[in-house]
Formats: sequence, structure tokens, C-alpha cells
Amino acid sequence: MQQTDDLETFPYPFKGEVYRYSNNSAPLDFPSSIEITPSYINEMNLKRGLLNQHPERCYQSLSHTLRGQWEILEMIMGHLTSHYPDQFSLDKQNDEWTFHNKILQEKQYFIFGDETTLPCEPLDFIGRHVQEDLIFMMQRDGDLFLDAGQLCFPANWSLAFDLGMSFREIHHPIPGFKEEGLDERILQFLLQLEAGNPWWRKNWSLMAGNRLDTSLETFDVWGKGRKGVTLNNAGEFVHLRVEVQKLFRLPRSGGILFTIHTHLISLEKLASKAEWAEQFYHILCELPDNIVDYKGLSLFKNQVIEYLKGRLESRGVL
Amino acid sequence: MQKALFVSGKRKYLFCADQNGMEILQPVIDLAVAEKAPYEIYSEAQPLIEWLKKQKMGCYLYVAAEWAKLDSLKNLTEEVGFSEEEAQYIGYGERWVKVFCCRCHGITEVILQEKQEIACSECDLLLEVSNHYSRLKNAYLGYVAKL
Repeated sequence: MQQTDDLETFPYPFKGEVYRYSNNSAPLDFPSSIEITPSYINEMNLKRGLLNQHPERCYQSLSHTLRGQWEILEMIMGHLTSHYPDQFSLDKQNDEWTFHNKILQEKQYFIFGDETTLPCEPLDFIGRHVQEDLIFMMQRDGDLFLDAGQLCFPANWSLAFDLGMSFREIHHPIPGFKEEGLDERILQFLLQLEAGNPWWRKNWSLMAGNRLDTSLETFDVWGKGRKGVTLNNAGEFVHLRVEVQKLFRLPRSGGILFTIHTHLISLEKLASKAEWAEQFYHILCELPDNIVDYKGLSLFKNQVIEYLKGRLESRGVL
Repeated sequence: MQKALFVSGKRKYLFCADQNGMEILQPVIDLAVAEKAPYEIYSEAQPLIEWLKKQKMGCYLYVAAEWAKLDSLKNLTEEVGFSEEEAQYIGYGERWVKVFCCRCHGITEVILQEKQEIACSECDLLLEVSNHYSRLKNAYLGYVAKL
């Protein structure tokens, strides 16, 4: 399924001509955990298909998360109905709630706090109405733990494996993350996150292909695409993948909701904007080997650089 | 072979090991002696749990044993109240570990070696054993070894 964004709305992630891992979070001015884009219906179909076919891969939760899950459902329903009132509505009669998704023409009656009145757990339910992946981190003993999540479009990681891990344990595979003290700095930042003051950041990678469901579980299938990138096909085949990540403190449970909205744009479309092509070209040329390896670019970085160089030379920029 | 690291400045050092384990701990014991710090070596004359329970706050514990016995020793010391910051565990010999298959989530038990590739016992995918560890699953993540 083709899943690409428009040039005008694409969350282009770069500043400057050098990229390093950092805590590049910023306060979220428009305090919504979710965003509805024109590919909503396509992505809902894709998400629900994955959840039905691969439930263990796409949804995991520990039993003590249920109260926090209801808090997440309430927050997201609040954001959907206040920011998209024509598409979503919520009728509350004390604890008896009716949620109406007008885009998908679905109505769900349930009793708030009673899981038996929903077709699945609250986090799993609300995740089936938004394009974002939803990760619930619970806080205890001065640390954060990934205790529940709905993850259909991961950037090559496994929710099933990472369930229950602390923040540092999750990020253990990232090169330099511990050595440079980034894990501790970002953890301290997250521990101090306040309710009502959400933050956001963008993360990026390059993808050989245009799949949103780049799970670790299917890497043996989609990872092969990295070997098939050539100078001739790079423009259409390779995509810049950007995750818009948002962080919300949940006041009742004390946990953190981490939402991830994944966007894809083909290199060809990206390069049609000259300043983006030039900036991305310089970033890729300068990128250290350990980041190239971790982001999975080793097999096709040179082809991408050559492609961008060609586009820039044809415009007389290089 | 794992080595014990000396953490200086502790109130008292505790050493618990079998005969082979004592050889591993000897360099650290020598350092504690050189620092003129109080120390105590566990002897089997009394149950380990009793020996651990009578120790005071601020002690630092070293445990060295075969890998197969190390987990149960660690559970025991944690039950008594030694945190991860107050103890070091050093294993020797063959170490059986569980490997979590990135594709099918199947678990394969293997003797741990450096830079190891194994076949998943459930889906047969060739896996590269990583050092990414899940405490919940007590397993290491196995990545796709060959694309």
C-alpha cells in the first residue's frame, strides 16, 4: 500500500548540516496527542489488519496498566472531539459514554472504567481510531518502564521484546547513547515532564521501500530492500521516514503517554524542494559510521548520496 | 572470563564464592586488604542467608559462582535486601542463556559465546545473539543474522 505524505505537510526533520543524537524535544504549542491526515482511512485499515493478524506483535500490556489505559483513552477522546469536532463526538452520561467516529461510521457505547464493556483493552481500543502508535510508560522508583503499548508501525523494534523494560534498557542498542550520558539526560528530562505541558520531537530514518509496518519481526522480509537500491531507482524506492513523537504526562497515573505518528516521503518528492535536497545531502555526507549503521543505511547510503548529488548538479547547486 | 571490579570506599566487603570463584575474587580481596578495609569471607559453617542477614547497611558484596548457580544466589541476596548497587555477581564456566527470536518470538536455549549465530529452534531463522536483554523474558534478543 502506498503511504506517502504531501510535500507541504511533511514534517521535515532537519536543522543545520550536521546530525547527532540529542534531546531535540520542544514544547508542544498545539497540545494534541494526535493528528488526522488525509491517509487516515488507509492507515486505519492497515493498522486494524495488522492488529487482527499479529496481535502479539502489535499490542502488549501488563495487568497493572488498566487504570492508566483508561486515562489515555479519556485524554485521546478529548483531543479527538475538541480538535476534530466534525469527525468525532463523545456523549457522557455519568460513567456511560458513547464514542462516535464519524469518519469510519462507528459508534461504541461503554461504561468508563469497565473493560468488559469494550471489545478490547482501552489502549488497544482507542489506538484503533488514531494513526499514531501509542506507548504507555509508567513511572516508579525514579525510572520509567514500558508497561503497555499498541505499535503497528515500529522503526525496526519489537514491542513484545521491550515490554516491561526500563528507559535505559530499551535504548541499550543505540550507539553512544550511554557513553555520551544521553540516556541519563533524557531520562531526567522525562521524569520531570509536567502534566499540561506536553513536548514533542521528530526522529528520522531512511527506508528502502514505503512500508509503514517496519517491525523487527518482519525485518527478514523488508530489510532485503536495502540491497536493491540503485542510483536509478533511489528516487522512487527510498523514502525518508519521520516519526512525530509527542510526550504527555498523565496526571492521575503519573505515567507518560508517548504517541508516534509516522510519515513517509519519497526521496524524489523530497528532492523536489532544493533546500531540503541540499541540506539532506550534506547531513548524509557527514553522518558518522555508527549512526549510519544503527539507522540501517550502510547498504544504500552511497546510492542515496549519489542520487541527491545528481539532482543538485542538474540544478547547478553543486 | 568475567572479572570482579573493586569498588573502593565501602564500609565493609563481603566475599561469597566456591573454590574456583575465590580465585576470581582474589585480586579484589587483595585490594580490600591493601585499603585496610574490614572484610569477611563466607564459610559454609552457617547458612548463607543467616550470614547475609546479620550484615549491616553499607556493606558491599561480591558473589562468584558457576553461571548455573548464580541466578539463585542473586535471588537470595536480593531477598535479603542487597540492591544491584550493593553487590557484584561474577559467573564462570558454561553459561546457558535464552535467545528471543526477533521473527517468531520463540525461545532457544544456547551456551553463550562471543559473536554467536544460532538457528531459532522454532522457525529456523539464523539469529545473531545480541547483548540486548529483557529481564521480563530473561532472554537476549536474536537479530536476523543474514539478509
